[in-house]
Amino acid sequence: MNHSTLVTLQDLVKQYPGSDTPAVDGLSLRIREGEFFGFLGPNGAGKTTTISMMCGLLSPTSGEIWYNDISLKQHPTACFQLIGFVPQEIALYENLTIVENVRFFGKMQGLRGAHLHKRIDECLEVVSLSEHRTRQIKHCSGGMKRRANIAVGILHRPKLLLLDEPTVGIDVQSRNMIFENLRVLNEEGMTVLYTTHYMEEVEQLCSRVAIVDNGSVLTEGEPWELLAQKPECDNLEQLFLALTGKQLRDR
Amino acid sequence: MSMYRLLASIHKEFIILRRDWTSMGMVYLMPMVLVLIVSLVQEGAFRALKDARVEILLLNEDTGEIGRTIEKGMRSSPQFTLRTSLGKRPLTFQTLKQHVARGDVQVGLYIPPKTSQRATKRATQIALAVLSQNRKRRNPDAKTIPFPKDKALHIGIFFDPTIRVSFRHSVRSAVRNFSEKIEIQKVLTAILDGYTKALPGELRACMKQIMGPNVAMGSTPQTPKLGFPWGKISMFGLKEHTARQDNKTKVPTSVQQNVPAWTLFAMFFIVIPLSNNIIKERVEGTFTRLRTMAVSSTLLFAGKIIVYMLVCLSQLALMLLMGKTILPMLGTPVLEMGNQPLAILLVAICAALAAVGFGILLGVAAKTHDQAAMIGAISIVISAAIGGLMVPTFIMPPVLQTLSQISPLGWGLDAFLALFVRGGSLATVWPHMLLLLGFFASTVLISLGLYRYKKS
Repeated sequence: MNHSTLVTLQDLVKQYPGSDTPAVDGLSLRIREGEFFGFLGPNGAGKTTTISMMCGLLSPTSGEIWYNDISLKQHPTACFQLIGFVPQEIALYENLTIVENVRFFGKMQGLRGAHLHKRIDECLEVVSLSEHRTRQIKHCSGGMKRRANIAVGILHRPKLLLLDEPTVGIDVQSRNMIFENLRVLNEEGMTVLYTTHYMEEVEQLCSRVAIVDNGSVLTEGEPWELLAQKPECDNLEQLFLALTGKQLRDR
Repeated sequence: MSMYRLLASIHKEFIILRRDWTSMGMVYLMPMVLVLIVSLVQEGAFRALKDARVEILLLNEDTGEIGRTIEKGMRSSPQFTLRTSLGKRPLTFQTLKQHVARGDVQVGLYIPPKTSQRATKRATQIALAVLSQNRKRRNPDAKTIPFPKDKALHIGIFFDPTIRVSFRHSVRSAVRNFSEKIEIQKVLTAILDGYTKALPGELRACMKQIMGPNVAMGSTPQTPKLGFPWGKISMFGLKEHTARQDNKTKVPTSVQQNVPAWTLFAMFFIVIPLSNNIIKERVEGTFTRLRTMAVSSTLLFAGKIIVYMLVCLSQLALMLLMGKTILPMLGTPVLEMGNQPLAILLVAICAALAAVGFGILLGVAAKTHDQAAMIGAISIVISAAIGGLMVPTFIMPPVLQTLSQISPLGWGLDAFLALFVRGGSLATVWPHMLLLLGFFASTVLISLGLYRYKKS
């Protein structure tokens, strides 16, 4: 595995207008190439804000984001080429078929001609949707939509795949299929940043994790390392609760 | 902005629209039903707008009593507001026509010079003919004097071509009412003079005094039975001129007014599917995903602008086709569109862009589908109402007449009517086009600003 740094988040701060406390407060993180990185935290911890800044959807109040030593602030287009974003919602056009969706987003990524068609076929194969390519999204099951959502994210062969809770609301079979798809992609060299509230998913998939709360990183490392630091915790869920507390995060 | 990406975006919008049967039904069927029903309802229906005060510009070149009487009658009528001058230029036959053609006033009335003199002469001729026929009845050998064969005296009337047919009937009958009173009075007086000529002076004066009230102006004219063929021989005729800028004389039809009006109404209703399309993309996250692909908001909106503008143009084409083919089969006149196809196309493009711009603004500004649908529908109906699509602006209260100046639907309608029924050209409609384009540019710029503000 290549251990050179792919992403560097340096002292990231995001303060929303009208809010007393920053959503992200001096968060620093390094993600190495080829890692399956779990980005964990309770609701309101600052995960989505951090991912939004990493995708260029939000500008940081201060701090820097680097992809392979390229500053996102200074060279956003070059950085966007390195990122594949799979949002939590099904960000696809309901009236388009699976293949029409993938083709459209592929064109928007700048892919064209035979290369585009090849990548569409490959990606639909990876997510096991080749047989259903002509089905409109509105007629697909939840699991198929989730997989199509991933297919769009990986079409342009990004170096970093950002997945924001990609298994919400789907059955065990679909979740299992997604895990297999993601493992294959990771083994092929794609770095994955994965956010979820399901700790068993993290244990199955992630090579390294960071737990964040109140906008900053509480701990970071390989799961076994983190558990070794807290011998009283038997699993990641106990560790997570020990670090973030048991109080509800209703806001 | 990459042309490749723009074409991909346009293609995507087309597919989405093609599969959205509900929106497409609204976009194409609604205007068809509207035009069909409104045109059929209005065609041939006599709907006097008796509560409306109509502005009439009078050019009275007659120095006699007829001109004075008509002027006095018009002035005292609650239905009309009479003006005898407009602007700085002196009123002539030509300027009167121009004022009406431009829509400065809705009706122009022209009383030619020496109308009173000619009317008196004609009344005498008619009276002599009546008297000679009475003589002939008593004495078959007596010679008869024929009724005058020359044409009746004409009072000219000009209508703004955009005025509805029913309204023209109303004004015409009012003018005819005044002229008939004068007609009866003139002829009766002449006949009375003829009968009483043989009597001694004192007796003649006495007769006139007795008969006077029956022929006085302002009384309800009862058709006297004096052997005069009332209705066959008339002294006055109304010569109707259509004040068109190309000097042609076709009278506009309700189809010419309804087709552009309701098509514009439908074109602007594109804001509902368009704003919903934008909100859907925002809510479902496709906009967000596109932003992570470095797709600019300008490109996002450009694809929509082009596709929805083409939809609006196809709506117009369908409506015009219906006016040409389907409506005539149902008994209405064939839609006449003037002879400025390029100007019609350009006005249509400007109106379509204005509608699409408003849709984009609504899509960006509204938070939910319901909000967009409600604000969109209400604002279009209000804009249509104050823009004169439902009732002419000139019969509205002054406040609404002022407000009508800011209705994009009103600008579009004025431009189409200028081309369809006023015989206007590009030179006539460019101010309307500029207004529509200005509206489009403002709405798109505000939308982009708002979108970027929300994004940040």
